[in-house]
Amino acid sequence: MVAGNIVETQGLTKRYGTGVLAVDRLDLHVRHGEVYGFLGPNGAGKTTTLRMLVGLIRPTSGSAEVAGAPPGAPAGLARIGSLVESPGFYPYLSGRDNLRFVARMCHLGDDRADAALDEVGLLARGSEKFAHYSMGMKQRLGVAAALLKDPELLVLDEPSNGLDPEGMVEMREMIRGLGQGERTVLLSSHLLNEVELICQRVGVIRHGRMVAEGTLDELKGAVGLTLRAEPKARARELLADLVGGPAVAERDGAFRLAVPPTRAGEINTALVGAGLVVSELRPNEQSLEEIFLQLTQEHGS
Amino acid sequence: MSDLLASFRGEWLKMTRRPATWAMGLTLAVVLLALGYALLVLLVVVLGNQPADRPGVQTGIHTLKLDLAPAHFPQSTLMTFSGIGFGSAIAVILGVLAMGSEYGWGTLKTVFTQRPGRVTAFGGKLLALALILAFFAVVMLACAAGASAVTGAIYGSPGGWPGPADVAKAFLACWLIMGLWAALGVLLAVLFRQAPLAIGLGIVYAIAVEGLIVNTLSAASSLDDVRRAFPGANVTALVNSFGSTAGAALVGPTQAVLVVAAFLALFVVVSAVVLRVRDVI
Repeated sequence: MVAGNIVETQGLTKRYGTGVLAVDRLDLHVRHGEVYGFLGPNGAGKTTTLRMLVGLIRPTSGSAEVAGAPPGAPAGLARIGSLVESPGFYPYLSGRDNLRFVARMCHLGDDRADAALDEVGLLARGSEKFAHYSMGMKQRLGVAAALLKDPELLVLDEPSNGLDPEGMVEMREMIRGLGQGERTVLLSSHLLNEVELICQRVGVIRHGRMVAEGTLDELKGAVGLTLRAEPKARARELLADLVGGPAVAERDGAFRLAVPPTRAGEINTALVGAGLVVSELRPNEQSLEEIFLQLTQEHGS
Repeated sequence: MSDLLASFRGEWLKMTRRPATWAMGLTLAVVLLALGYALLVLLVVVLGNQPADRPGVQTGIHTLKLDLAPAHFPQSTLMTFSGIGFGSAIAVILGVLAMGSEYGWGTLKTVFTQRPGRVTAFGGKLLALALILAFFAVVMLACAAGASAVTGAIYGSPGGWPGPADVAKAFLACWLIMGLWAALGVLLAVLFRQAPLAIGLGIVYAIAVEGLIVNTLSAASSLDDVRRAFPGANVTALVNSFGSTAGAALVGPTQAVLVVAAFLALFVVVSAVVLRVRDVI
């Protein structure tokens, strides 16, 4: 395991008995203290990956180390708080008693329950039965349970699922706050604006495989340059020679170059040197949504 | 060990706060009082209204009064689990509810992602369940003792009260038998990952299927060894060892205890192994 990583997987693979390959040789690296966004379309393998990381399902092959221990080992679990898929609690127990149950399992005092309820804004409703909670309250209780241990690593799987817009904003703010300081947050989501606002690094998964991993700036930079130059035909020829024909595309009258932005100077010098007029040359400023679609469609095709 | 204790504390909170747990305990007590006492009293009244010189009436009344006497209360308690014993079915349901509901509510992932490992967490659940079953065994014996004190005051108390050793043995037998059927419920819940199917199969097996098989096998004495291997047959033998006159015992009480305990251990071990290796999906 590389120093500085709290989660690291190598070739992690899960093939279910039905033959479905849910996760395919996944290499994931989450660093200490960051908020990491785990992105992918529905069915990409996000939840299966997270289930493997917390020890709920066993990988078919590959390895993983989470919080200094193999997934599911008590030593690691003691340092991880998780909310995987929907929150699972006992409907006949109150929110407070559900948290007391979790606290007892973690060697904590019953009084931790109230502190956790307070942290997610549920203290006043703690005596109500879980069955009577709204979806948003259930999600909050799930986060509260994950926080009980004051974990080093918080694994949250689609925490905004089922929330109304107001609830989503509240959840986003809550997660942003939780990611302050030493704590690491591994956040799975398909809500790209949520991830863009909260996360420092992201990993994008498609058909069970990691198709990109890095900071948001790295991912945005990785998608290339936008260039306008005249005359176009000559520019097209020169660019094909410089970066290769497949890396050159045209859209809205501009060239889109699939090259690192660091090559901007070299390309500009070559074009200007050949007598072309370069009116625009800049890194592509795409939203995470555009990057995501590009990455997942490229790798899907 | 500390993880086991932590799991036990958590499970104890869950089980003791669950209304279904107490509903099952109440049902056990009601079944015992209804079938072990109220029904017998009714029969005494009905037979008492028959002409006294009618054949079998006096013998029947005498036998019923003996069954209602305080000396008989340990066996009356255990009879709840003998033959088509509804007590067995209730114990199966208790076991299924303890484990099967975790699948229905999606709470197994909550249990398995806290600090204790899977087998330890399961151990904590079994400890809590065992303690609740012990409490129910005490309550059942207390109910039977109370009911027999009333019937004894009405119909007399031939033989007096059983000694503490007999009551203790009845408690252990009751606890063991409930443990067996509850462990079967736990195993079925783990295997089928749900409560409804496990309850259905468990009840059908406990009160019907095994009885049918054992009765069919009894047609051939060469198959007696096979009959002796069934858990329910050994439960009945254990119950009968407390003084029932219902037929010759299939096996002795020691063997019955050993076989019942072996089945209980088998059900627990298989459940633990399956829980440990299977994915939680």
